[in-house]
Amino acid sequence: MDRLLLKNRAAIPFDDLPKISYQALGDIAVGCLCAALRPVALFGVPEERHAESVRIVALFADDAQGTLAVTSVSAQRGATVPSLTPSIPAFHLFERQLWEEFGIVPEGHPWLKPVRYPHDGHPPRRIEEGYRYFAMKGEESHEVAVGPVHAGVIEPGHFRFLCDGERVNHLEIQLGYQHRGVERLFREGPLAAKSTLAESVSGDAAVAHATAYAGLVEALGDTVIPRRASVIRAIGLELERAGIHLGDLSALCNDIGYLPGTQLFAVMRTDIINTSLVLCGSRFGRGLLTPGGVNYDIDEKKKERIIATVRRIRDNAGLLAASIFDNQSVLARFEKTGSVDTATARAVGLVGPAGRASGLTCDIRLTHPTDAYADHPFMKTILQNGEGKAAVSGDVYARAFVRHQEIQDSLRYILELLERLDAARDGIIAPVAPPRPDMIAFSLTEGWRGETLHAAVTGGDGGTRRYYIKDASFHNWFGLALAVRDNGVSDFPLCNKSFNLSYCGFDL
Amino acid sequence: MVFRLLRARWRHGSQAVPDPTTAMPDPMFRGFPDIAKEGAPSAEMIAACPGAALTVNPVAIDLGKCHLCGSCARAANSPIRLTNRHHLGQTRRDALIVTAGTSFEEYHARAEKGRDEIRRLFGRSLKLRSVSAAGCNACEMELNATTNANFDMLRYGIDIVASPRHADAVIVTGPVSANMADALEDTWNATPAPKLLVLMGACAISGGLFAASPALDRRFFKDHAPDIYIPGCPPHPLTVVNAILHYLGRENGR
Amino acid sequence: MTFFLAGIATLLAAAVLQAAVPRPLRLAFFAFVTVAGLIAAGTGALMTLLNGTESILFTLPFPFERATLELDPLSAFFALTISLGGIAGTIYGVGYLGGYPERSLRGHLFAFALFLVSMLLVVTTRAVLSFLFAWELMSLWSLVLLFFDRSNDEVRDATINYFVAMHVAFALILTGFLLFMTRSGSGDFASFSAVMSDPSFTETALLILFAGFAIKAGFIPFHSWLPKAHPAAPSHVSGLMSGIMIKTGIYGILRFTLIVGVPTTRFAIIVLVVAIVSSVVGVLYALAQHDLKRLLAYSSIENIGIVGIGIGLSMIGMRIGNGPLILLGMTGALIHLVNHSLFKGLLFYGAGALYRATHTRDIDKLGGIIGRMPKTALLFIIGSVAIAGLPPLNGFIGEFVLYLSMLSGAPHASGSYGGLVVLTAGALALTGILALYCFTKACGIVFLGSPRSNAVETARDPGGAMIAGMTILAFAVFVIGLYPAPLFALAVTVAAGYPYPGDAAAAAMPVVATLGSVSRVLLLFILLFAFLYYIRNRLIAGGGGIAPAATWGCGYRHGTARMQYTASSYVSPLMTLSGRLLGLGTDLERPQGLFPARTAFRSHPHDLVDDYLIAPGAKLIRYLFSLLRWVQSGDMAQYILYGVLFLAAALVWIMGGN
Repeated sequence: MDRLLLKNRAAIPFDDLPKISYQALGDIAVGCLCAALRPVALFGVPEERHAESVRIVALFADDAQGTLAVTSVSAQRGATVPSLTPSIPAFHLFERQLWEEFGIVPEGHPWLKPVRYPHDGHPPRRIEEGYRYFAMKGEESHEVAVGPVHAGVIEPGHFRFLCDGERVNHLEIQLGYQHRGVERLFREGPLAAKSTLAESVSGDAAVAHATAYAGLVEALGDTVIPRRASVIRAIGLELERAGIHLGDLSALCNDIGYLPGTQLFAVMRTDIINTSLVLCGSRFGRGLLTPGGVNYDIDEKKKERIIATVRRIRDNAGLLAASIFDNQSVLARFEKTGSVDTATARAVGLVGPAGRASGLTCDIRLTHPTDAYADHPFMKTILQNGEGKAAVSGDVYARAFVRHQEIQDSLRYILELLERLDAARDGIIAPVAPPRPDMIAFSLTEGWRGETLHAAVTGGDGGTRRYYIKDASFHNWFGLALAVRDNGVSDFPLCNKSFNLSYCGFDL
Repeated sequence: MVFRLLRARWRHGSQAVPDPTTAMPDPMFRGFPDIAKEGAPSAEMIAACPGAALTVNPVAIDLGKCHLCGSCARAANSPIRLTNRHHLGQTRRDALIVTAGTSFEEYHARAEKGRDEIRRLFGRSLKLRSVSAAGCNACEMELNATTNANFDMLRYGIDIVASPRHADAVIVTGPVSANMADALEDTWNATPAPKLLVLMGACAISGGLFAASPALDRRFFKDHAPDIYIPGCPPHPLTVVNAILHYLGRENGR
Repeated sequence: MTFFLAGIATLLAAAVLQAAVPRPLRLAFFAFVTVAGLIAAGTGALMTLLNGTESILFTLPFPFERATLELDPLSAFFALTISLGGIAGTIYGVGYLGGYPERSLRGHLFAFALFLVSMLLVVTTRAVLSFLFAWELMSLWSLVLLFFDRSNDEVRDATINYFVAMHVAFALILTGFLLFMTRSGSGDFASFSAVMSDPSFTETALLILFAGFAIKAGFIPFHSWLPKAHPAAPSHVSGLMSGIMIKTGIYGILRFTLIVGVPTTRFAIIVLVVAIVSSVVGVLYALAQHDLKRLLAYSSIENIGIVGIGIGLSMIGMRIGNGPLILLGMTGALIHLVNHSLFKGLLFYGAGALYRATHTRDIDKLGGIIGRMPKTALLFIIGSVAIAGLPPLNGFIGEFVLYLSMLSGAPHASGSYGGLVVLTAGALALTGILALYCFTKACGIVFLGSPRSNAVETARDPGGAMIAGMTILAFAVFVIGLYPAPLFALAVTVAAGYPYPGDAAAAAMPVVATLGSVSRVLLLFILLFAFLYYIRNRLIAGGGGIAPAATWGCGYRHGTARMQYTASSYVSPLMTLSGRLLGLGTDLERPQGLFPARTAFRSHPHDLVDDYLIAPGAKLIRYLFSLLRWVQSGDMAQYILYGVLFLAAALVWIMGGN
């Protein structure tokens, strides 16, 4: 038995994890290619009794079966293992992370560089220390270096474009500026009191991270939440998704100078996030979730307000999107800009709307549904573009169109959920059982950016030994870097916004 | 085609907040904490406070640390009630501490205005340069929102600029990670004097949730005294706009 | 004329006597005597321009017999240009040569003085043999000067190329002369006017002559030698070659047009089209270069094109009787010719100073020079502003007169000629804007930013003589820019020699007035600029002064010099459009795969004429010669056979003769 199959939000005793060799892990990884398994995570857990030992936990998803496969490898800090990246590129960041955190050297890794300069790295490095940028040969090419402090109000990160003239031949993205030691803070103190921290992992995806976190705590304590709470959580999550997608469509229109789109999508976003404010007192859905349920109920008055706003925005956004997506001057900038083909998207493990725009079918709401999404299946309309085809071209156009499609889906789903609210009158919060000792649990949520993973390993005393977070951005930043190859420098903002990735969610 | 766009435009009407200085957010908004003189916070409430903002002796909430998450207010028999009063900006760190019985008016009266020179130079035109120093993107998005069609801070001549060279003020969001400390210092040094330092959000003011994290480096604030504190997690755009207007002596918007 | 001859004598004396002066004083002595000679020659030329033609007759030994030296306005104009450029070049050159204390330089200085003399003779002799003799001397002495750095392969290749090109030119010119002589029966240039009765014959002969002179002048497609020789030559020589020598080609064209007239309209149009192609394509090629001296060389082609445009317009004017085109086209060409000799000399000398300081001509290896070589930078930038045709410097004046000729000439030209003039104006405007682009690239990449290689680290301004040579030119650039009327008057004196319908001097009067107001506006502009600069400084002083600060680098502390635009990147938007047309090759190794191991970029500015004309031609010649290779087999028996065959043939011939 080289792997264990489980469902999303399952907890198992840590000692039940199969232990295999790194080579055997490689065999599973290579098997992924044919077995429709998708690498989700690979992270180290320091062994409780042997400080020098690290258990490497590997998580794969079988999207067709709706199961997760988990296995583990024992390794020493500073050990050398054969790199899996040459055969499965999606592992490249995970292996770099193992190297950075535990000094485990993946031999044969083609791109072994620091990931985020954590304060507790092995050895600790100052930011940018020892980072060697890939460079272009020849004196005639130039580099465009941007950041960490960008021109807009954006999080910090460093981008290095290798250009000849205005053409980008390669982009290297170096992050780590945002590292706050989030995973460490999750380990300190009772795990059930970390809602606000979870909401701050990436403040623009507060509900997504809070949902993943709350689900994880509930799995570790085997808590079942009221159905009403699960419905309200889903409403919060979909409001967040619709709000961000509207904001991003506004920003995309801004980057091509299409001002009606910029302004109108922006005011629609304000309407949606103000609805979040009505729901839970925060425009970002902060404070809505807590382990065991939700803090704020939806009464009739709120319900009517939400319905009215959601209906209005659904219609207005649909109308505006329709007029944008057959505007030739918009399409001229969107189409064939920043393309990532399906094979590349699969190879690097793109998730979320970016992956779906490149033709992948990943969506945790559909493949690994929990709570409200399991009770009331989320249905996706495949909106068709003007040519009667789904937008899977992997370019800015496809990513914009997928956003538009998801706004419509989310708002419709919110209306469906609100109808079911009356039937679920079982309260909004259940008492939370403390985490069981020596367990490992995984909680996947489809945030607006895509797959959001929170995982935890509890210690013998019920404390947290390891807390692991993987934001959707973890895979997708590399997708952005590939997307801008052979595009103009001036198209970078457009490509960037079409992905809209999280810096702090990556740097943690 | 153009008619469809016009129709889409027509349906939205005017979305601008007519007067940001008097506008109020929805009553659900968690703003100024009203602490009753009677009753004391329970140990559970203290333990649940994510930013360690709530103290018992004296009974007080430090808005420089408070995330306005509402956990204390939701607890049973809580003496704390979060109102939707949102003009929370202050100019002194200690003025952010709200003790039991402090009314919003008393709190608000503590906020000072800038020196005459500052008001003369920046009163009609203040350009901000934002530095996100490990901010989680919530403050950043709210800062961006201050310039959108709804809040439209530009109507007061306050804008966000792309380079510190063009800026009159540096506005910091986030708890300042060690990895961003140099960049923050550089941005401050690249801004021409006279300049203001504005802190936005609990993380920037005190380190917030991350205050205890070894990954931070907040030595910058040892050498540079902030001029404006804007509490919240994240602060509402109206809080940001009004804090700055108040400092510039334009609290009525004029 | 006396001054002129005294000048030539002084130059000859400088050539000979410097060899006897001890090495430490040799350069100073040479500079002193040569400059004195050039001042004398220039004074003579100027007096002629003011007073009228003078000539002197020599009787020389066989085969020259009778040689005339004549200073008419045309000759004097060129002699003045040569003297002016020569003075600056000599002073700069002496400074430049100061960097080679280990070499005796006797030969080099000898060649230098004789090179100047031969150019002065080329523009003053009036008969076939003496002209060709002077012409050949000019080519040979410049060849010697060019071959200064003998150890360098590039220099050797360029020297051979130059040698071949000059002799092809010589052959063409000789052919042209012979054709004329078949009709005139004399080697006297004045007698060539006999052919005017047969326009088609004149056209053929003149076209052959034009091709020969065009090689010297560097018109496209006759330019192949030029972008190779200029970079290879030491900079004081490049400056003289580009600033002065190539103008002798223009002189040849003007001289024979003056004698035999413009035979056909077709000839005028050919000249104009060649000139337009030279200016537009020349500047595009200049843009593509990353060798600073090659860039300047192609820019010379462009400027020769601009001069040619003026000449072409003037020729068309002569054919259709259009006064403004004749007079202003010719004066514009002559003014631009003088201007180009000044600012191109200045730019080449600046490039030489840069090369001396950094040992590289690759623009993409420079950067940040302005802080290290402020004087050179200022002088080079003055030259660049001038060559881009921006007011208030002299480049503007020449092009202004050319535009004036087209603007006032086009309305009086019939349909298709009017269209041609308008198209020419468009081409000139395109050239102007591209020249601006080209020199913002050169100045921006070389002087601004931070150093792109270690070569720049120790760069310092050169010594006094080099700076002095450049300063003389920069001063002239300013004077002509601000006070153009005298130069215009001199050019009108020359242009008045050409057939003109009506009174040329009277027609020039309004232009003098216009130029006067132009110079007043420019002066006002400078005063306004100075005033604003003063106000700015006052404001800054009032505000507490300026605190210097590092470049804002987005809060990133590990910036490198690669994070600046390169020369290639700067012109890339244009080159992606025109590069294919020009044969600009780019090697882009794209990054392969998700984790690329290597990526590279390089561009090669090809020259289509080299690729499609010269290279196949050379290959053909090599092939033809290879057919004869069997003659040299190395087999002794075969050589003995040659001897025997020769003897037998000689025997047969002698016997037959008897």
